[in-house]
Amino acid sequence: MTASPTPAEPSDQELVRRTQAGDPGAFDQLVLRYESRMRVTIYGVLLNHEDTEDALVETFFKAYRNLASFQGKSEFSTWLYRIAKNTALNALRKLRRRPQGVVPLEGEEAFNEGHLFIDESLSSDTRRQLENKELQNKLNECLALLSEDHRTVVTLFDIQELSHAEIAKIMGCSEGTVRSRLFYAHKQLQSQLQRYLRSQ
Amino acid sequence: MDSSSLPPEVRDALRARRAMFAQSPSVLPHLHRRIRVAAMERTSFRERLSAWAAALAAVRPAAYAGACAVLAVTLTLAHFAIPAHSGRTMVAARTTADTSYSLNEVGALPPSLDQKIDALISSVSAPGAPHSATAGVDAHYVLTSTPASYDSVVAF
Repeated sequence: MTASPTPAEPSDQELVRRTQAGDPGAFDQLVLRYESRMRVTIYGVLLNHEDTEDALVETFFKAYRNLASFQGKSEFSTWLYRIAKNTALNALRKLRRRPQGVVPLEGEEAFNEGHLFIDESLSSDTRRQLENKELQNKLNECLALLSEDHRTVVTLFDIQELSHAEIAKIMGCSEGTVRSRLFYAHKQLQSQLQRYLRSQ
Repeated sequence: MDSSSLPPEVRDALRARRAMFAQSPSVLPHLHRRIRVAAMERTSFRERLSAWAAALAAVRPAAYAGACAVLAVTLTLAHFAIPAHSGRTMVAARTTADTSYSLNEVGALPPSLDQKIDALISSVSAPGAPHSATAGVDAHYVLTSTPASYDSVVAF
């Protein structure tokens, strides 16, 4: 799960050590190395770009503030994923209390109509790109029906491609629990998306 | 159960999100701002109040004296607006040495800014009304009773 730096790049451990020694530039490198993965993880829980950005900043802020107490007993990435997951869940609890609700999917659809969900490697023509955007919006609708724990497992397994053991460490549960959550989430997604996929 | 249980197009769509988010701009500028704001927030109330008062006293001594007087009146009013027993425990916990403290005992040395503010706040948070010792020249107040610290004022 550790980011694989090229030979010229320092390891996570080295960057953590340098940050703890007072080199803020080292922490910037860690942020640049992990922000994309943390963003995907947080989005997987919140399903909203705006809230994701706020929670992402908060995740790295918490990591920076608590890095002095990080002893390296787990991998830095596992520690960071755990902070991201907890920050996202806290944000979700706060969002539930706001008047407009948790996931304004209409806003996300408008956002997805832009450029972000167009993956050039998957879509070679405009029609395919439109289908891809539709599928992404439909996916968001289905993911929103799952619990946050199930969404997190799907994000870590299907998007981040982490192992069951790694996900178990991040989620603080057994591998068996991860497998059963994944089984349930996949079943739900399949069932929800079945009609949409048949119509394509 | 693994990801193969998802239809391939769904699996691909999920993995496409990784590439999509890789294009988002970095949060580093926001993070740096967040860290700076947090550092500023850590500056204590006392430091901020002292810095503000020092700056004001240096630039406009008359305004400083006026501000002290306004603060004293405000705190006095606040004191009488709070139920009688609030903060009584803290006042009772003062030591004898504390009780004997007075700005007049500083002698020839002028009191520090912190002492001035301590005294000013104490004079209204402790029982007994404050009175001016130097007839409004520097807005010094003689303590009629126990002084209070900033922490106790905040807790109060």
